[in-house]
Amino acid sequence: MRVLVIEDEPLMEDLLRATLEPLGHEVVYSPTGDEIEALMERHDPDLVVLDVLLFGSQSDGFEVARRIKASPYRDAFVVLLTALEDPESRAKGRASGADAYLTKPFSPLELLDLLGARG
Amino acid sequence: MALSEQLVRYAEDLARVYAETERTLDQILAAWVGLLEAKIPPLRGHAARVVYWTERLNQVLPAPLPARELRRAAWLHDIGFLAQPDREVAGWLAAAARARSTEGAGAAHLFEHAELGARMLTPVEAFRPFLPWIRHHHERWDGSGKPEGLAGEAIPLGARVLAVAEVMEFYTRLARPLSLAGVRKRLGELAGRQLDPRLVEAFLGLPLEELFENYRWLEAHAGSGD
Repeated sequence: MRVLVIEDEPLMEDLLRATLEPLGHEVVYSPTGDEIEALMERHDPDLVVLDVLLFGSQSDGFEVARRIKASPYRDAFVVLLTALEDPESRAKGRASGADAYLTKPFSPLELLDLLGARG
Repeated sequence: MALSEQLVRYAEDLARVYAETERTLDQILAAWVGLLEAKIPPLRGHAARVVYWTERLNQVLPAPLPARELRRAAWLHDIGFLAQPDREVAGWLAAAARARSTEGAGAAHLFEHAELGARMLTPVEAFRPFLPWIRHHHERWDGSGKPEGLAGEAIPLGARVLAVAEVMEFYTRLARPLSLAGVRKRLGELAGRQLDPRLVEAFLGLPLEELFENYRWLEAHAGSGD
């Protein structure tokens, strides 16, 4: 499975790579989702792991998710990854069209379960 | 969220996966033993009792064997009987019980299960460290056992431990079992012939009467929630 990780924290990128690559998933990475349409077109990922608070980006993860779901690549499974646990943020996550919402610190097993469910 | 929290979460998940994997292996192993005992009823409870005596003996060894491997070897030591005809196996076991001897009375093929079992389990990588213990658990200290006729310390220690536990189990579970005094005497007779004399000495140093009663109590209350 091809996984696009959008995350501004390099250590989180390393952790996600270490979680996914040994299981045969191909991980591509971007520190920002500002150009999400171009990223989707270039990589055509099956799954997008999307940090919500993206330092240095104009768009937050909710906005990026919404744009993915409005694009021709709307079938990609979108997982929001965030430290925001409040009901309002969860509601925004749902409204963005994202398929799953994982709160940090997230369980790598939970993420792998999502991939398993995906295919 | 501090990154340290995320790292802790990874460590927790790793430990969980490890524990689950081990538990799953043990559950599969228990299912195989259940199959063996369903096919060959005289073996019911045998593996569990050999596990018990093996663990007790291991605890008093100067350099105990790895507990998990020894427990799994004890569970699976007779699994090779699955590769032999059930009725014949039951017949051989009955003949050995009638002869009141662990020394080969029964049939020429009685001890082939040791090698068959080790071969059957070879595909499971996690089991490979203890397969020699299974393969050689019917070797004899004097070199007249099966399958290779290994003698003395050439026999893997785990196999020698299983052999002592199996003799203990055999004589206490006959239709007319030996008294524990009788078992002690018999173990003494087999030391240096069938069994490693130092292991027999260590085993006889255990409070066998108390351990035997404890096991009977555990068996009687298994699954009752007591």
